[in-house]
Amino acid sequence: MISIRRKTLNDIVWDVVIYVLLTVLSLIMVIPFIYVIVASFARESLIQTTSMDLFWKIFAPVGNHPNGFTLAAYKEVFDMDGIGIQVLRSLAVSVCVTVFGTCVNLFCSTTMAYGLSRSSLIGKTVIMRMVLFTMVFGGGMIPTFLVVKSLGMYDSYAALILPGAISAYNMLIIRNFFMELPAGLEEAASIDGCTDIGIFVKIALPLSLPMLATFGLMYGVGHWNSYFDALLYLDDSSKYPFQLVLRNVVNQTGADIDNLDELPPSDTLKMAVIVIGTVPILCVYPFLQKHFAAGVMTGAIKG
Amino acid sequence: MKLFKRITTAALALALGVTTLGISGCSETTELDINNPVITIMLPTFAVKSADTDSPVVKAIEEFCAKEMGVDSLKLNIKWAANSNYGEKVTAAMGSNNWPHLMLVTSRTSTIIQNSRADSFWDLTDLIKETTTNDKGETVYKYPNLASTDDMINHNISVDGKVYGLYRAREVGRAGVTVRKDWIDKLHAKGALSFGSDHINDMTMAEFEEMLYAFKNNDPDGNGQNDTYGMIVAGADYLSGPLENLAVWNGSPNAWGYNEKSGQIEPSYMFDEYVDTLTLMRKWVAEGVINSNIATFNSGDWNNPFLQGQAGVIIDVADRARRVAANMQELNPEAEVDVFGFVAKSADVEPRTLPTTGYSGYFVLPTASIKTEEERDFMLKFMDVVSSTYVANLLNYGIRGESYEESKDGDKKIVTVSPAGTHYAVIDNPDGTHSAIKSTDAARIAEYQDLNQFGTGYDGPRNDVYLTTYYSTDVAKTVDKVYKYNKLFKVPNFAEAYISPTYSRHSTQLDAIMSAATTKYVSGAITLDAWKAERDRWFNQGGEKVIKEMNESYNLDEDKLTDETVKEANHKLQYEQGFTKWLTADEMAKFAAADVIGD
Amino acid sequence: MAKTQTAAVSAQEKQAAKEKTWIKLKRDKWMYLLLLPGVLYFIIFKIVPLWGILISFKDYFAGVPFLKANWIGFDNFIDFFTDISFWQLLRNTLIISFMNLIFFFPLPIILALLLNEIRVQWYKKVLQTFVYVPHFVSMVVVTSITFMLIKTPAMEGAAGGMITELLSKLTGHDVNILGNGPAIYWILLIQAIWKECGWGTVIFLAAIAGVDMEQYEAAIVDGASRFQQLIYITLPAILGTIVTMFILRMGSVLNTGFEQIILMQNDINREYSETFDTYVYQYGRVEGNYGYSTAVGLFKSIVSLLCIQLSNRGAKAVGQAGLF
Repeated sequence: MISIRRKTLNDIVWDVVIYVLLTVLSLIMVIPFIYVIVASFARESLIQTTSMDLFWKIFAPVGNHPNGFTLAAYKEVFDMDGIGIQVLRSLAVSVCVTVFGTCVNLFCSTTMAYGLSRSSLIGKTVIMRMVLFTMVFGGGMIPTFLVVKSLGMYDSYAALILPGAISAYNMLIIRNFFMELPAGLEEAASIDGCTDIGIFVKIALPLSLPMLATFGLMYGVGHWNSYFDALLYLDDSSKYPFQLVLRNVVNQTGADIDNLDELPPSDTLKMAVIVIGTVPILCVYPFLQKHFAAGVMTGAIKG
Repeated sequence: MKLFKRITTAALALALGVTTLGISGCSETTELDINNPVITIMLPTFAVKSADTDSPVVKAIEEFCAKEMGVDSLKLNIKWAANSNYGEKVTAAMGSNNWPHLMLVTSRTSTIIQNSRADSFWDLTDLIKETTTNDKGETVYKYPNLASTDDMINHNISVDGKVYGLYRAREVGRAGVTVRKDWIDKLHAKGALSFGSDHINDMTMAEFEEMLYAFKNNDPDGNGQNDTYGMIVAGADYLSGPLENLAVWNGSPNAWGYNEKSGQIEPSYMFDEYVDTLTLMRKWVAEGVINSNIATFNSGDWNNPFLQGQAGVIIDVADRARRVAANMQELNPEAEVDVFGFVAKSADVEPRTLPTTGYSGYFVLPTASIKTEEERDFMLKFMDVVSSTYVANLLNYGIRGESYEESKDGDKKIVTVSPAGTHYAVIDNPDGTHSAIKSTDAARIAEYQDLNQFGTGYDGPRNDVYLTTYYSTDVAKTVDKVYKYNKLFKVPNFAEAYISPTYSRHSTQLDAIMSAATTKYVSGAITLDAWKAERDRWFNQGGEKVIKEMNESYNLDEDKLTDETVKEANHKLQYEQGFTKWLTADEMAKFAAADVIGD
Repeated sequence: MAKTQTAAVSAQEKQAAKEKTWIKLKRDKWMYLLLLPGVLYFIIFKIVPLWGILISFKDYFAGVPFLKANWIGFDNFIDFFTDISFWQLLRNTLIISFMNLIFFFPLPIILALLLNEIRVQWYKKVLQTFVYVPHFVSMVVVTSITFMLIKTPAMEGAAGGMITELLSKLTGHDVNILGNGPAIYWILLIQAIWKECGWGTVIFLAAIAGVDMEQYEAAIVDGASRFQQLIYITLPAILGTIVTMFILRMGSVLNTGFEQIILMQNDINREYSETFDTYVYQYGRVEGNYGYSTAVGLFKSIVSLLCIQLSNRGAKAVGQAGLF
């Protein structure tokens, strides 16, 4: 629509430069993933002797094998006598924590945001001040730990969900969104005899579906990716979520100074675990991308 | 819209559910029922997956302990925590009031010290070697295995003179020098070296230096090229190994020692012998006897120049020789690897060796989970049983006949060779009549994976054959001899037992000053004056306070180490092992007299 | 008399106001019910821990009964300020933060401007998908991949990570990234760029989308090249957003990626990677010196608060909305 004018040579050069630059850049962004995926299927000996050249060497014969591909790492990851149980259990834990946690997040954030969206509400200012203050000033790691502990949540999944039930920043953006809903709708509904809760559930929420999808995604990704809460609050290693298991597998050096013969997990095994931890996010991502494109932009600008 | 109704309802229900879950899921310290005990133990894990509590090996341990303890059933509840964050998990257990019944403490942090002082752990000082009268009216140790612990190590893990734990014993005389035996003999044969490989256990500093220079200058590999050097020193952080050994051989203390000039204990870098050793190493680096890239040399590559025949000496732990020898067998079968423990300053001076601390963490009994003295004694008895040879074998090697096969000596089938060069097999030690080969089945190994972390390694009365790991190389046998021989001349760290609050807080920074300066000086980047200036900086940034605090503890200590007590202990050990070269006639008479009374 | 009258009137007003308040409260009762979970959350998990700050005035260690811990006044703070690590922490925090500001901050802007130049919509979508992806990957995965890419060769003849090999080829000698302490600064920076640079474009793309199309059309009529349009129209149009983002970033100058550093930290780079956050973690969680750790955390919180206030003032001074 803009190109009323014909492209000059300058513009064409400019276009080529930008296309090439961005293509290369976006490839750099994904090459590490591709490398990890390829490496997870490679033979261990190949990984130890190749770097970049793995990409083509994997097709070449290795020793007396026709090529470098093997499923050994995945067999080991899902080996029920080995770490298989731990991996599957932690995946299940992560899925549950992500689903439950996101529900709690959305529930608490939207209810509070809606409550705060009424400007005439008595006490609103106090609550807003509290929220803003705690955004910039907190008790810190140990005092929060002591509170969580004294609530009896240490070593329970509640500690992974409740202490982070609301992100103040997200909640304020949701509130902004609710405040911009047309007031007429609410009035009409209240004349129809709806309570505030009714209006919230029947009108406000359905109108903000894309935004909820966005924040659901944000919270969900946050839960799936988090390991630090689990490190802080979980004691029993059989309760660990996937990211913490992943961290332990990757960190495992096997270097007990008293027992130098202990072997660390192979690199392919580490790669396979990384792939398993990343794939779910990458699968969900394209479906939600169109939502957050719209949702985040509206929210982010105002925030 | 419907979807969202459902989601909100679900979320509400969940929020409620999770809250109740949180409250009911609260796990607090459980008390010990000594009639039907479930013992919670906290241990570090090194493998991805450690032994489950339902593994047959754990069951076998439980059964044996129940029988020995005279209870109907005994259960172990092992809480594994990844070694990389084990310290954090120990702190969290204490901070969240989730005390296990037995907790392995791997580092003496200020929190451990404070908790010891606040009696969060049972004081075991007078209990470890408690005696009782048996049916025959004889006085015997109540816990014979615990009683076999070393007094000095018990002293080293003490806080304000009180012992709060049961340490995990480790080899004391672990230091060792790995050398190319064939090079020594070749050079000796062509007259380039004044001694042969039969002399390595009696080497002096002058001879050691002669050897290094001969390795550099006299073409030990006989290829006609000047392409070899003496000793490999690895990495900035690993410099301390070779350096500390050389310094101790030269007469410097091990980390802390008594300085007669100032009348107090001081760190080794305050001693002239230490500085002289630094200067000596600097000269070796400058003259190409040691690799010049010590600051950047990656410690993971330490063995490589040795294996490739570029250099012939590594000062580190003696068991390194085992791995080097195994790898060498594959790479260059003609090369011979040997190992010895130390070098004497000169032929007429008693040798000095650098010992390890002799322990790797210790088990504490928290008073929050073990409430009464009766329960405490029960736990001590339990630890005594766990320290027995029978349980030790289970912890380290699994179940006889299942995890490993028993066979007669001479019929050693080697199933697999690990890259580290150890054959996964075990053999009975003293007479060689029992040998065993570990199963290579991963499922079998998983049954006792990491259980060795629970082993105390005490050498008490035997209630089973004593199993050790079998190695195929000849050097492996020498390594065991080196361990024993080293112990006779060990120079302990005088300050091992003491806690300086300043040092606890600033160890990283203070140590960094000295290690950086030392690496720079040895590699020739700075002068001796610059090194001394850095030492002054160390002194001013907290070192002075550390020395003051250490001396306060030292002066208060009734069992403090002095050069005399160390000498006496070593000489006594030498006498017991029949090694009398450095004993005076008076001492011989004294020890002989003590022997008579002891019998 | 007039006095009493006004008193009566104001009493009446008060009464009326009270009733009005009561009516309002009653009217909004369901709103308060909706607010309840959120308010409880903030009170329990954000306000109650503020009381915990008191332990920074105590000699309090994990496991030691709280009552046995002594009140020691400002000793923990004095300890910290006289600590030789204080300057090290400040240095590391500032270096990491300012490297981020100098090298990372401009990149999303440039990337957004370039992406905006892509006129083939489907290709733009594809590129966006690619550059956004790392944002959704966990820090654990990012650091794990990093270790794979920069590992040192396990032995002679073996290959190191992709980046190690590349650098070795470029420099002509063996590179040991993991063994080099200060390299951690660059590792942290590159990780941050890789992970968040693409996602950071979102806000700038949104700002660019708001630029008035007529300006471009006018420029084209004037014969401006694409590059000139970018410099003279797009960039000035999003300058406000850039300034806001910059000032907000300045406000959190003491916040360095905590999870990232903890995951990358080891004994070799600790001297360079220890920041206020990791120090709080080290002393609180690992060492269990709860009092001291909380004192350090409190110090950092207060300074952060001041930074945010200052940057907020700055934002308002240049005519931006600011955070509050």
